[in-house]
Amino acid sequence: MSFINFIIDLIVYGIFLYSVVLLSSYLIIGILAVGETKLYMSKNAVTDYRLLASSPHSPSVSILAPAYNEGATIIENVKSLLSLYYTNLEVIIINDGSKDDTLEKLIAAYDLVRIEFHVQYQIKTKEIRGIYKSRTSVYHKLVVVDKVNGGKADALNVGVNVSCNDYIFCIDVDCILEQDSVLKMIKPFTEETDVKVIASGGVVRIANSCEISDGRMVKVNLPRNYWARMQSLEYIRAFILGRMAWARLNGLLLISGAFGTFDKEIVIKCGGYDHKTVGEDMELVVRMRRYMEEQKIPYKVTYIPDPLCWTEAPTSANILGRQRNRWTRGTIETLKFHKKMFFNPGYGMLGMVSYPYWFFFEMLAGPIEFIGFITFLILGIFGLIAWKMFFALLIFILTFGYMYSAFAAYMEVATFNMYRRRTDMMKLLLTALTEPFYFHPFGVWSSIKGYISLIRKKNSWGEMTRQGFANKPTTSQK
Amino acid sequence: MKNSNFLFYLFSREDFFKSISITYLLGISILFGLITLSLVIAIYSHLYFKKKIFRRNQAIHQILNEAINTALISDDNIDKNDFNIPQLNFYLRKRSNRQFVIECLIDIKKNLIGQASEKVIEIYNILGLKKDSLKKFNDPEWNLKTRGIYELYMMNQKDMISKIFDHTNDKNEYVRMEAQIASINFLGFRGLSFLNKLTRPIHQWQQLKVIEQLGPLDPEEFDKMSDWLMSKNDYVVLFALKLADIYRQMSCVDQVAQCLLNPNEKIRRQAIITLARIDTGNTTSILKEIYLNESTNNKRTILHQFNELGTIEDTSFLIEKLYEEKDSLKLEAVRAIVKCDPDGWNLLKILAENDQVLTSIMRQVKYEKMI
Repeated sequence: MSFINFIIDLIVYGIFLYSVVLLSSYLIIGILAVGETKLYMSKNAVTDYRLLASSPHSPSVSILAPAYNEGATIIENVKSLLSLYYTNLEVIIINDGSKDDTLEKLIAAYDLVRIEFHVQYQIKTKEIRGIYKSRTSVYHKLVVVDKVNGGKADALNVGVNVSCNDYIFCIDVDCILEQDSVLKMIKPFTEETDVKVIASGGVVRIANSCEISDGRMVKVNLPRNYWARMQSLEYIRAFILGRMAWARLNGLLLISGAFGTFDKEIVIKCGGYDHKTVGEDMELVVRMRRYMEEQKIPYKVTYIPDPLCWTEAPTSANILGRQRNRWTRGTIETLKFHKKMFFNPGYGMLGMVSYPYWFFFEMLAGPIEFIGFITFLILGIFGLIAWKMFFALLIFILTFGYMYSAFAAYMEVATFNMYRRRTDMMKLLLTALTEPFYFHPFGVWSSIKGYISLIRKKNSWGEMTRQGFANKPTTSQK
Repeated sequence: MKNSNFLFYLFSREDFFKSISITYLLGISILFGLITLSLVIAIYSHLYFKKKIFRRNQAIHQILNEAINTALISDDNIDKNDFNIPQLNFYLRKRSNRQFVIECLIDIKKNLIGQASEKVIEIYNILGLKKDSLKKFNDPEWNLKTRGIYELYMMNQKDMISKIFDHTNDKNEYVRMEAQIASINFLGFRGLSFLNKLTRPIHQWQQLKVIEQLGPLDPEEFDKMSDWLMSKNDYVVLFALKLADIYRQMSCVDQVAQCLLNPNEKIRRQAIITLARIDTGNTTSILKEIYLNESTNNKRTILHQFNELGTIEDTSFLIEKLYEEKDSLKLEAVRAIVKCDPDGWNLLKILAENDQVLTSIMRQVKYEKMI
């Protein structure tokens, strides 16, 4: 009996402690996010970014945009990238062995010609078939690389090898960027003093139902599709609260693959993106941080809360499920690669706080909730549920969740206020009410499927069919 | 123990349930619910007030624009009565509205020069907005002080020079930065005197801002340049090297050369660039001397300088560099050889036989020369 007692205590108090720490961390995240946002706003109240745009002394930046079967929208996407405000810039489009006419369209639209270019393979990649530049001086910033298909990580590594500049700005080619996004993303690197800035992340927002013209965001609307709207709320919570708080602690482990800037020298020293994982964006940040910790070089990863990047979110359960499946696998793989850091005081904040948080509350959250749900079902079948306590706990957790979502929505309104219509906010808040019963269980299930895929050694990205901003359906990943 | 008993035991642990009573949980849930409700009210209040403020600002903007346009078109001095507009006066009673007016004036001034710009400053003074800027400047909070400094220098309040200058080495980074910009704004090149006593960092962003501020001004004598180049503050040295590069301070060549021995890699790199820029004839031999002990990045920077400064006498040095491990160094060496030796191509062709990397680099350089 004593052993069983011990096991029961472990489960009961373990889950209780898990919940208390999780909810407390949400509260701490909320408080830290407020402080960091306020600081960011104050720091940049009188900043004139224009000077960085036109100065020949500003840092040199290469935008790296991998493209796979983007023929339907590539011309507009590149046009949008070429119109970004920044002088010291090159835009590198990496055609990752597209099966459609992506390359042909680029060649025709931008008058490209194959050039002689000695590629320094500082990171090992698949073969480059050719490098193209425009004959028209207007497009002198554009470089197109045609390579054998090798996945997103490999394409980005090719971009790093081809890049001639000091900083790399990695994006998804189909994202809509604000005109001043490079300026804002590069500023933290120019503010470096004794602490090296190795990477800077930015906010990604949902572009579904928004009005976009000539590759520019014209009017922001709340997505009409339920799944996309739910992701809008999720992104607000994650980017305005979560990442802002982690940035304050200098504990950011993830910079979105769709929008992040890196110090190229450190990226190369770390060996570039790892193509063995589907979570290459997170893995690179973790590896760069680990490298800096091991070299004992003071560093930081910064984060810009301005809404600068807009992306199209999955609008069906099927596609969203594949995306979440991939995210789960990426997280597990990354944490597995760097398990040495787990509660290792030698890695400071990274080993003692960031890594354990991701391990317990990102990686294990799905299975723990799933096990909880299965246990609940079994107990229900056996009639062993103390219903009063169950409902009290249910109401407690629901109200906490709503409070957190309402707080995120309030932070959005009080800071960048992208959804200005009252009806939009109402829709967003009402959507939040459905989250615990529909969207959240779906997320947990997708996470479990991620575990299953990993066990079955499935390492594909999963097809991501997109509508495209010009309402043309495209296929954007292999 | 049977399964059902086990599960019952698991979920009927009195000690556990006692610690979280149902009433207690419901009480906290009600609290969460009330906070949620308050947040929803706050969201809608915020949206309402933002809209209200937006409309009010539009109204102020319109009144202000009309008055400013009239003042700018007129050749005469601004009459105080032109800005004694009852509606504007009504709006100016509120501090937030006055702040909006200041911001509008700053925006307008940014796009104007000469007399028109002076008129905007006059309007700022007539409307008594300096008091607001001073209040912010005197506030102990760094963000308000920063804004105060910004407004005062944007509105060219020269009587504030000495007080603002005192903050050019402030412990707060942002106050310090604005004070330094103000100093340049008020005094031009003489404003750089803050570098004499600067003990804190002046990072790249701030350096860019200062360089941009100095851009339109006529260069003056940098009588303290040598001191800055010998400063104990690495940031000052780095910035001074950049200034020496941009304004070609030939007289400081010895101090710049001294910087090549600085332990800070960034300083050495900038010193290489600056020395090449203010070349007095023996730069290449100095660079050749330091090459061996430099970092890869600095080696590349050195080889890059031979593109401009190299002569046929440097060919043998550059050829040695074709056997460096890093391709980036080989590339720079090939570029320099082609530039400084008329027979460089033929020489390289011989060396590139059976060397695929060198052949590939040569192809790139050949292409670069064609375009």
